[in-house]
Amino acid sequence: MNRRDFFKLSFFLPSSMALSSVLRAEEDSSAADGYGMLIDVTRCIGCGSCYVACKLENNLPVKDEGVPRASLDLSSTVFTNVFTRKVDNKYRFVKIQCMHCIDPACVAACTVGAMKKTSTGAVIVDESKCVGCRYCMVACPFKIPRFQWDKQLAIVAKCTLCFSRLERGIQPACASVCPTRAITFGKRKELLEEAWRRISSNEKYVKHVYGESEVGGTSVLYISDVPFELLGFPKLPEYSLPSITENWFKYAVPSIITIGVLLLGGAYLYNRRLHRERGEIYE
Amino acid sequence: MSETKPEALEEILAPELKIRIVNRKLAIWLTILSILIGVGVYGVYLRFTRGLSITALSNEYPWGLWISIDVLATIALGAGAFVIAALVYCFRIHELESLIRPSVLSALIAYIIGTIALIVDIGRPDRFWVTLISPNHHSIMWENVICITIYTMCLLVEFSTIARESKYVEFKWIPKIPQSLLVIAVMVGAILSTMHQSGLGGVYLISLSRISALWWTDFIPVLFWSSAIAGGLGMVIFESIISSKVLKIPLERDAINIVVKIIVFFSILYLYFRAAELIFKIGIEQMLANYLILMEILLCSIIPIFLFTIPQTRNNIMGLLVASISLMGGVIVSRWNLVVSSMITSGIYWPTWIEVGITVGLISLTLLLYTAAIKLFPVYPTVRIPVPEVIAEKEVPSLLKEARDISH
Repeated sequence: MNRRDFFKLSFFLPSSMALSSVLRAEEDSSAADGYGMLIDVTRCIGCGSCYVACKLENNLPVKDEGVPRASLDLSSTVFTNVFTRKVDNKYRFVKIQCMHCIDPACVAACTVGAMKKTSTGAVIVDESKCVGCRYCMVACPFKIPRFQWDKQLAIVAKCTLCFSRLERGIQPACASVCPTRAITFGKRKELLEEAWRRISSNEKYVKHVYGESEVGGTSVLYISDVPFELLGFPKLPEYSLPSITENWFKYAVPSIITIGVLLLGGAYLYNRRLHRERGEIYE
Repeated sequence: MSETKPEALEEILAPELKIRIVNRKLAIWLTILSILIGVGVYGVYLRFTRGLSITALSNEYPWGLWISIDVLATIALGAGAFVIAALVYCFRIHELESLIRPSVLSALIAYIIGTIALIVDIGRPDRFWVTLISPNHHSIMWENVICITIYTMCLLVEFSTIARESKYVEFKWIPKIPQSLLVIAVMVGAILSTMHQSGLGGVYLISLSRISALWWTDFIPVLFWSSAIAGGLGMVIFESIISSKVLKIPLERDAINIVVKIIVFFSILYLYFRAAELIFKIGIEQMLANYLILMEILLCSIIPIFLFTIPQTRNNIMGLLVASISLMGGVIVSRWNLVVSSMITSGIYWPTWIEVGITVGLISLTLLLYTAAIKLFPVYPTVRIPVPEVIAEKEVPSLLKEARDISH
């Protein structure tokens, strides 16, 4: 390898990696337009119909009989549940499930690419790929993916926005059974308009749609008459979390490779030349 | 029957090895290790039959003892090899040559143990290989897995040169690695090591909202990289001291003095990115109020920096030993902190006995592999059991003199 090839190699490798990551970022920007759900906390009465519908639709075992439904945390067999929050002597019911982020942290994190953001808006787990490393659980800002702790061969499970129903053109099970229409299903763009319509037409609402800009936007949106922090919603940055990882691949990795090749290769070539000039045998 | 057995043994094993096997201390050491490995094997059996419910892990703490100590800390402590190999092969610092073999061996063992721990930890150990064929180019974890896999191959290439020289195991079938290929393996290894030693911390960059501001900084990768190099080199010093005591070989003072300087540099780098950032972002009171973060800073940087810069402790074996143990402890504490202490949650995590048992078993396996490897492979080139000829050479004149005296 002569000097020219050496420089070509050291610059081509990192710059091609940087280029590919830029191209990837452009591809992903069209993913914002998918289906979603608008959950109106003021309408929810905490009946738990969505919990039952979810269990039936996803064929999840009901082995938690005897325990009050409201005390069940999300798990690998509980994809959604309604939690009671007491705020200033008022009770509010918050339905929790996967937020189906537009740029999901779990999808960027997943070691094997088992997590996918589909064009319908749903974030789903490919059960044939998941190795159960649980990195998605560490990455998710909403603590949604759940691990099958009691299984010998275990993977991660979570709400799929009833992906198979969406493909057939039917709304998710939980939205279809809600008796108070607290869950509105539709295109995210339309839901956002609907959310702001409700907020502007009624004084009681907090002037914030949770999920509009949180971690770059989520497909599931919430509106409420109680501040979201009091309902237990995490306060999150407005940029998407995978953008941090993108910077890592765009800048850190190419610089490590470039500096590494130049420093180590340079030192090696310099020392070899030094030894040759001295007429020593270089081994 | 009873007479043929020792002969056969003597044929199979070189006489030196036989002497070692009879060694009482070694026998006790190996027995203890075997018992502890047995405990670990039983733990692994329980894990595979009952799933991860035998651990204290939960949805609040998806990762715990195994990821922090057995995977992250173990791999960090194997970082000494790439630094020393790069310094010798690329920067031609010949004084460090004697440290290459022990550090490559310990790195190889560390990476094997880290991989075993990872396979025990994941939910589907039966499809761990999927990570290699199903890439996610956005995932730092995937990048780490690939870097670690290729780097382990580089370590095997480096180790094969040692293995070929073994007197007890036939490894001559391994092709001789040409020098140019070895240099490339070292360079690729150093770059990949930098990528995954920092990338293992980079894994936590995305968990921005899940971990406390005390631990989440943009510089997690730099902290991981610098503490891994300092801790890995600390382990190289620790190894040299222990092996010089056990094998009764001289300590490589010149090499250690150079390693000490490198450690001080990386410890200062760590201290700067850790403490300076914390003081500006959070304030010194809060930093001092958290004993875990204080412990991390003390063990990883302040204690070793002091012990390595003061001449009295730097030239004292006890001083070196304390400093290197502090560095290794610092790596373990910092990994534990990021994986467990940093999580913002109401729950608590404390490992179960089975988790501890498997960890103890893996540590014992590390020590057993190391003990076996230094017996089988010429890792410490100066190790020489007194061979009869050598004794004779020295003693012949005096023996002759004695014989002459008697005959007179």
